[in-house]
Amino acid sequence: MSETMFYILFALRTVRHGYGVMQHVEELTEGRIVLGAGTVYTSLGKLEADGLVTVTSREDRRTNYLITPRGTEVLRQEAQRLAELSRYAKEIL
Amino acid sequence: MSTTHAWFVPYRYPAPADLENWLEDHARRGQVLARVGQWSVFRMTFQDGGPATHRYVVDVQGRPRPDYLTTYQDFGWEHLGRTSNIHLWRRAYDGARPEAFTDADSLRARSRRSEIPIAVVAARRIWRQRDR
Repeated sequence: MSETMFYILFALRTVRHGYGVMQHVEELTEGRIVLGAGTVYTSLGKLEADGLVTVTSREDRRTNYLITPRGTEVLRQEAQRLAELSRYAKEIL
Repeated sequence: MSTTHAWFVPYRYPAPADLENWLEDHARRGQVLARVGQWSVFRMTFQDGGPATHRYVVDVQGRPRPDYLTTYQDFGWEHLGRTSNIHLWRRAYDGARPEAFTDADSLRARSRRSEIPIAVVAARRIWRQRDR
């Protein structure tokens, strides 16, 4: 899973629309990652098609998304993989 | 305000990045793209004014989801319109040139969406060369 997808899934543990996802990821990464509109739109479409996020509501042509149980499981597996990587990375720091 | 026209621009610059650079170069020279409509694929209209620093984004979208326009607009992009299945977006900026596609996966996805229009233009060019 790419870093972008990880952060978008992570942000969608709470209901958010596309711009809200970008704001949350920017805040989480202290400005290191600023997602563009095309990236957010494309990523949300792919995550929805893969069943990892779902549409919760549409208001004023804004669509709100939330992670699905399958998405949560995929995110958890990725977090475990990253934690293992992090353990070994610490050995060389 | 006077206007100028450019013909068959998407055919001359089928790759999104090339078309974006061409439009941005025009804006720097004071020619700002007007609204885009179904005939803009043949003829684009520019309004003459002062030099402008604009970022253009070319995005091929066959059937965008309902939140396509609002997502871009929330991020500060102005939708100039759609010609064929090409959406054109613009944003004025100071400093760093803004990007709409900020990771490799979404850039690749955009390139894939642009492959068919590029292939059509390439096939026409080859066909014309054969006829000469």
